[in-house]
Amino acid sequence: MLTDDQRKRLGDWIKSVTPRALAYARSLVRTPDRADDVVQECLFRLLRRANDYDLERDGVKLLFKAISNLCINQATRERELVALVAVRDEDDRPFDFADQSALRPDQIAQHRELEERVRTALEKLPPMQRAAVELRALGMSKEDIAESLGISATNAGVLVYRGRKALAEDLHLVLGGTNSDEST
Amino acid sequence: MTPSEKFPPAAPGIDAVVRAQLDAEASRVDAAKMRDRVLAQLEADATPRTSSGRRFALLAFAALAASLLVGVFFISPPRQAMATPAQVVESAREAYRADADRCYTQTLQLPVNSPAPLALMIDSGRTMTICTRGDRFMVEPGFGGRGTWGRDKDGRVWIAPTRDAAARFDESELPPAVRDVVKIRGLEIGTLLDEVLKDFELSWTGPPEKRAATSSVTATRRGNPHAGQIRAAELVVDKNTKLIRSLVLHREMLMGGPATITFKFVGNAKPDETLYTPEGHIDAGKPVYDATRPVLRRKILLQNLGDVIVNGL
Repeated sequence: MLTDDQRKRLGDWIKSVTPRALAYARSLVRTPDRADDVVQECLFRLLRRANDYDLERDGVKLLFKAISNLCINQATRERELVALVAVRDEDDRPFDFADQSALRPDQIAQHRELEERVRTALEKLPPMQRAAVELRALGMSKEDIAESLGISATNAGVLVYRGRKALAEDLHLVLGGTNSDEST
Repeated sequence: MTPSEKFPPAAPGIDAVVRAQLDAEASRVDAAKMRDRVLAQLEADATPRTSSGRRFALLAFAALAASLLVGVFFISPPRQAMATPAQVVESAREAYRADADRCYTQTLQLPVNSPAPLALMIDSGRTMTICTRGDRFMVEPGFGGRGTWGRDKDGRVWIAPTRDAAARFDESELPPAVRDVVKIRGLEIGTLLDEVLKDFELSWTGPPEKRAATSSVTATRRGNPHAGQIRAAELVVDKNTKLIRSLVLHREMLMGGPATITFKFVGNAKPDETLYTPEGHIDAGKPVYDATRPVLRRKILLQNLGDVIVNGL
């Protein structure tokens, strides 16, 4: 049996990481149900051994590594080098599709359309590129991405560059496309 | 650590756009449901711990020893029935539902002396996902890492290398090499369990552990297998759900040694009839070529799989 303290601690941790873990898994697998199963299984496996590592320090990294392992076809890992091309959005401001509370209806419609375009553009990326770009967007370092995907840090950087480049080209018309360098 | 500390802000530009997309998706998630499910799983998995102190451990040990003594000398209760390997496989067969959509990852290792064309065609070493419902299945990615392929409810094999067109074959129309790949790469759990129960010796893979969530059974064919047949299998069955969590098949190949095919359960697919048909994997209005369009069908094979598929090995 879990103690009340354990339930509280683990429950809070699950609630804090689940939304983005599920968003990540859903972008990599075919159906939301399957993504749910994958994330639940990864959380269970990770937390049943929560005494063996520092959950607060390493939990997120280990969770995303487990999700990546289950979701990504390793054979699709790419090794080609590409040049860096990145874009900056028109207002040089982070998009926030989720918070639409202060938007007019026409702006909400625009955001939804943009969200759909970004989702479609992400779906076109090979799984490893998609995973690398998404992990980077979630704030992971190149080294953390490499560990999550089981590749070298150099390859992680290449995947991020290449994914960004493809997205920038795909979303050029939507974002108004002023390109700029972004560090990996 | 707060969620924002766990997930630092993204850099401006493409990263921010991707982050916004992920956050939008995340905002639609009901994390409380997931929390409740995982905590319930952990509760079910948790066993009494003795870590609260040596004293408690000693008391528990003493109590256990006393109860054993009482049991042995005074009560002699009937031994708790433990399932046999055959019962484990039978329970998996009984619980198997032909209408459930199960997805497994699948990896395959060929014998080292396998002919290169076979290895190329079978995509040896590549991890794939196979979703099954009864004897229907769908494999993704498909041949050469492109598209999908599978078998529909009528036993027809289809290949959809792109979203622009697909090809469909009755089983009798399949080129021999493709028929072999279907046999090796496909998964029919019900048929497999029937075969295992009928023609295999069953034993525990390791000493059975009462507290383990799964049972592991090794199945060894009685007598020598013919080419293409399964020589041995290792099944891991969930004790509660009777679901097959993983499966390793050692299948005898025509040219030397067994191929090893490993399946690991990853989850249930959303019920979707089109998952097992080519129409579900091409864009609306795009063609599925069958025996009535043999030239175009052959062209799809040639373009995507090469001469080795069409002409055999």
